[in-house]
Amino acid sequence: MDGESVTVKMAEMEVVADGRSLKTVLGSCVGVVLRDADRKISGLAHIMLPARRNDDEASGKYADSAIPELLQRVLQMGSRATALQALLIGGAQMFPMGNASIASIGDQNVAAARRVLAEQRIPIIFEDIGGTAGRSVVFSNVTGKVTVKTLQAIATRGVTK
Amino acid sequence: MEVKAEYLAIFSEEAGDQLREWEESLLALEKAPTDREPLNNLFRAVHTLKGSAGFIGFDLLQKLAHDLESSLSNVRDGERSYDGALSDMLFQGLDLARSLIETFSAGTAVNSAEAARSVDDYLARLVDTASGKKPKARKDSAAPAPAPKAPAAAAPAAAAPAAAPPSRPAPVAAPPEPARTAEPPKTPAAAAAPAGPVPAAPTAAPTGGLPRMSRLKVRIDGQNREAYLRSCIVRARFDRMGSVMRQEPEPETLRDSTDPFVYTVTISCPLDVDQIVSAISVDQVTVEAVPEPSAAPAPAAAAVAAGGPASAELAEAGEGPKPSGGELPKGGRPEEVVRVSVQKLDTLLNLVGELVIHNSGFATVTQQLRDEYGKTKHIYDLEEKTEALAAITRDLQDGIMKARMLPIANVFNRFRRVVRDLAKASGKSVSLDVFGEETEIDKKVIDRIGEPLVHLVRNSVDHGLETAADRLAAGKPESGVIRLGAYQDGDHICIEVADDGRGLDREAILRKALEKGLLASDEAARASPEQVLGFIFLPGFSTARVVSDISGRGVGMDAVKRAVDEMNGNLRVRSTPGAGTTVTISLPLTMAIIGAVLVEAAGSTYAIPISAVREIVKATEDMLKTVGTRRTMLLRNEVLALVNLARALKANGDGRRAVTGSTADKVVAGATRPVVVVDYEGRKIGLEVDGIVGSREVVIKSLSRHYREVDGLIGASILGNGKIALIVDVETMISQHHTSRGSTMDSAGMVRETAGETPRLAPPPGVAAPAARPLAPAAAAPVAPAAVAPVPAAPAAAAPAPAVSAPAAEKPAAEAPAAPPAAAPAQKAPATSEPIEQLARDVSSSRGRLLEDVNNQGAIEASMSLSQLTGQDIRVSFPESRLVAIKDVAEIMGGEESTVGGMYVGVVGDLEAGMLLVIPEKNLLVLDDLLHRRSVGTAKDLGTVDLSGISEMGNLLASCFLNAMADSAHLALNPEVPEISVDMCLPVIDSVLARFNQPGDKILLTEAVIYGGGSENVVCHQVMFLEPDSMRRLMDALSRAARQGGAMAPAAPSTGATPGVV
Repeated sequence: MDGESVTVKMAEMEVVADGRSLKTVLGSCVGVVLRDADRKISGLAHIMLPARRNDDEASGKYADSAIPELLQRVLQMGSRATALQALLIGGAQMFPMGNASIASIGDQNVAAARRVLAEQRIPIIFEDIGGTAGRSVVFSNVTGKVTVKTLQAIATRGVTK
Repeated sequence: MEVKAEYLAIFSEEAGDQLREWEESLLALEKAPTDREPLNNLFRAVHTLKGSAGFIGFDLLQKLAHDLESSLSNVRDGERSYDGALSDMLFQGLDLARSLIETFSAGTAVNSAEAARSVDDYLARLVDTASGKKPKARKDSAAPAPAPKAPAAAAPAAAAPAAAPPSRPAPVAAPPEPARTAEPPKTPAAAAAPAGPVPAAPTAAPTGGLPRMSRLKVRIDGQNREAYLRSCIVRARFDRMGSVMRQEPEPETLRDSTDPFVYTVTISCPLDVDQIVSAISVDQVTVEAVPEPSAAPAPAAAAVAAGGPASAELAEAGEGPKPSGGELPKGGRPEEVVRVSVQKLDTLLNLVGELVIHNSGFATVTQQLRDEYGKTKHIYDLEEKTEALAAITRDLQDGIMKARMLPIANVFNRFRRVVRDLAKASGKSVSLDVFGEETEIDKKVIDRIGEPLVHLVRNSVDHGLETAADRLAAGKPESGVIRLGAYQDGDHICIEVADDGRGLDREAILRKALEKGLLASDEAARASPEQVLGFIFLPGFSTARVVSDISGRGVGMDAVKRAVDEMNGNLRVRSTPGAGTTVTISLPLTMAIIGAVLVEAAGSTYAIPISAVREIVKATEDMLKTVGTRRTMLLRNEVLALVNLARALKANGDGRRAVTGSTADKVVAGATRPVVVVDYEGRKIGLEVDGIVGSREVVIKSLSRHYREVDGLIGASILGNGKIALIVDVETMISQHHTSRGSTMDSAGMVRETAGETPRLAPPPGVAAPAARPLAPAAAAPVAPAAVAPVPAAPAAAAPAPAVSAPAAEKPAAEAPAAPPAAAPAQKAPATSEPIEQLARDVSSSRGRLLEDVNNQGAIEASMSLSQLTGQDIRVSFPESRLVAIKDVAEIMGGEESTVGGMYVGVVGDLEAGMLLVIPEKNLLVLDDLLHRRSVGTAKDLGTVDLSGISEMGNLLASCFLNAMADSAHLALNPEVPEISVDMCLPVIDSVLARFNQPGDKILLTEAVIYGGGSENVVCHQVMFLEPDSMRRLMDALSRAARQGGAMAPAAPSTGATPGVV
């Protein structure tokens, strides 16, 4: 990626309106990108869980509170709701074998993110979800290009060498 | 079998001589295989042993010696050459003979089936080695014929075996199974033996402190690796009870088989079978006693077989002869000697210790009476009697101490062999020079000093001594010399290990010390030799490969140091480049009682050994200065560095009681402040304390296992008033304190501190900063360290009574800046006091100590099991609970995108919990090697890593921790099947963090770090997660269990310390 990138850590969100890219690493978490291609404004939320516990003020963790908040922040940067498009990445099953409490978190996150985006009437233009591998994601605010790397690719490279 | 007691003593003594002769001859033969003289000596020794064994009816030994003699005669007659294989066999034979004699002297059943089997095994192998020419000699050997040139004394003795059997009811021991057909019976009696094995007799009654053999059958549900892992846990528990002599079949061989996982363990330990069985208690493992098969065919002999236990009872009870026919049973010593178990002596010693304490109490009371009433006649009488009592008590104490003393020859003896084996392995020529073998030393030291000495000797041979070529080039004799010696020096015993090798490389050590930040560069030149050499004993220093490569001091000097510390001893190293290195271990004569100054600090009582104390000063305000961050004291124009005792111990990990906010920071105008001036590496250091109680003799009680990790404490003592005083190890405390504070001391004794303090555990290695090691404080930044963070000085003012406000001040540092520590937790509760913060506070308060104890037990168990499993030293650090920002967790584990193996083990049962292991990529390979017992570096490719092996390790770890919890809290907890995923770090952990999500942006982690494959290598982060409800339930269950079960750890917190929660 050219230019700097802003790393979005777990349960956090960032908005950029310049040449910087947004970067995050996802497992069962989902990354939701809201982008205004016209004004070159992009925001990314790194979401851990589908629905907020009402005693939790850390709203960035939950799809149902993080996405509205991200939307607010993108709008504050000068974007228009109608111009926004969404990208949805992540939601993998990292331990797929049977620990129900853990295995389904990824799916739940994806479902929740889709629902909330639908409520907000923001179209999803790109999805790379599910599977059993973690993703390293870089989203370029300038070009709108998303680069998703998984370790399998890296590992394969290492192995075949 | 009737053995006259007086012969027994003679036999034991003589056998010892013969064994020595045997060993020396073998060592000599190894150097000069064709030399006749050692061969003759050897022959004579074996022959004489055979004779005397026959004389007293020790048939097994006789048999062994007999066949050995035959092999030797082949050599002597030129039928076979003396080669390495035979030499090794003869060494093994020596060991076997020695162990037979030891068993015999210890009074265990002598001609047991077990022993007979091992002799038979050995002899069969001997036949193989001696190949071909053997049988003939065996046939003939009953007659004196094969020893034609034997010395005169041999003739009658050699005749003994032939003549003796008919007259004795218990002849050559009979193996219980007549299977060993390769061994043609030699005497009529032996031929009869297999025909009539006596049915199994139950094992004997419990004995006291004397170790005895027990056989147990271990049955493990399940198969293969899983069962094998459990067998490792079982093994670790056995090892704690005694020494495992034999496992049959070896569990390892069952690992790959589909047979039921059942094996037999033979263990020598003081516990009886029932005690052993109940102490094992591992899930899915059944242990039961195996009935001891009796060795002897005839009833009379059966009585002898029972003589083992009987004699043990005798020793235990100290009574007269037992039922076995009025004779002193086998293993009994001549009349003048009574065998007493060490345990009994320990009990006596403890009692005398109490006596000493109470006696000094009497002296105090007498003094008070006199002050109050003047010197009346009665008081005078009382004084006199008290003094007399004191004198007798001292004598009694001395007497019991002496009873525990043994000549150090007991330890040194084995070193001839150790050196021989080491020399052989390293291909160097080494001779051992021993002096002072007669020096007497505490039995406890005898038991514990062996291992450190082996370590030192090994280091000397492996690294200290040069190769023959190098030695010649340096103008030294080709053969290196190791000197091992002991002598008494005042009230200390010194043990020396010296070599005439290349010496330590001061420059290399200095370089390393600089690199580690132990020393400022301008100090390097001025550092005293002692100081420089002292560095090699620091944990994480000597183990560094760099040092062992360059200077020749390898792994494990810190282990030696630790062992010596545990014995309250000191280590000194002297080294002359090119001329050799001498390590001197100096140990106190007595390990049980020391004189100490009792002090108060932060509400607790500590004992400072009087040997370390120079003087006690009441420092006035104008003597105390704070220069920058250094605290100093001006004493008679000398500037001393000051160390706050309570805080130093806290920084060293003893977070349980040391509390800040004490009066340490504020000196009330006009008041004086007691300072204990101690010696530290030849300089004076002031220890700041809150008060001086007085000087006492204190009985050292060892700390429960997990306290030992707290550097700076050597033990605890129970005072006359029932309170506990922790005994401070001044040297370790100060050195650790400075290490952990990232400061160094210059030669003037000033403390120089750098910013930032390391947590007690190794800080997480940053991705880009592999230097994040225990000794390198700078890299510890990312997370606020919990254990050692200083609490701002303010609370001290708010809380004039430091002891009472203690728990509040103990909150984790992660949130310390936010909430003033002195505030009552219940009242002050806006946004910051969310449940998880409250929980974290509780966990680090007195209530959490029980939890910490349990976690520590788990860690110890896990360390042992993993070490057992891998055959390597693997350490699991004590887990620490702390609050961490969710966004930072991945960084702590090695970086968001770094490749790791992540494993999650869910917990089913009474608690909502889970365990996460995060293994950095390169350590997946290391672990793979360790788990397959390959040398590290073998596995090269991530694709070939056996994940199932690693997941079983996770299972084992989880089991250890869960077992500790389940046992202590009486809860049902079981690990689920581990799931493993190799991926980037953040993806691996995020679903687990989500699973244990709590309100707020932090998460409560209980984290341990696992070291292996080199002691600084963090192979794995292990994190326990508990739902807050479960955490509370666990803590409640632990307190409940502690209340019911009585005492937990020493110095259990006083009740007033519990904060008003739940």
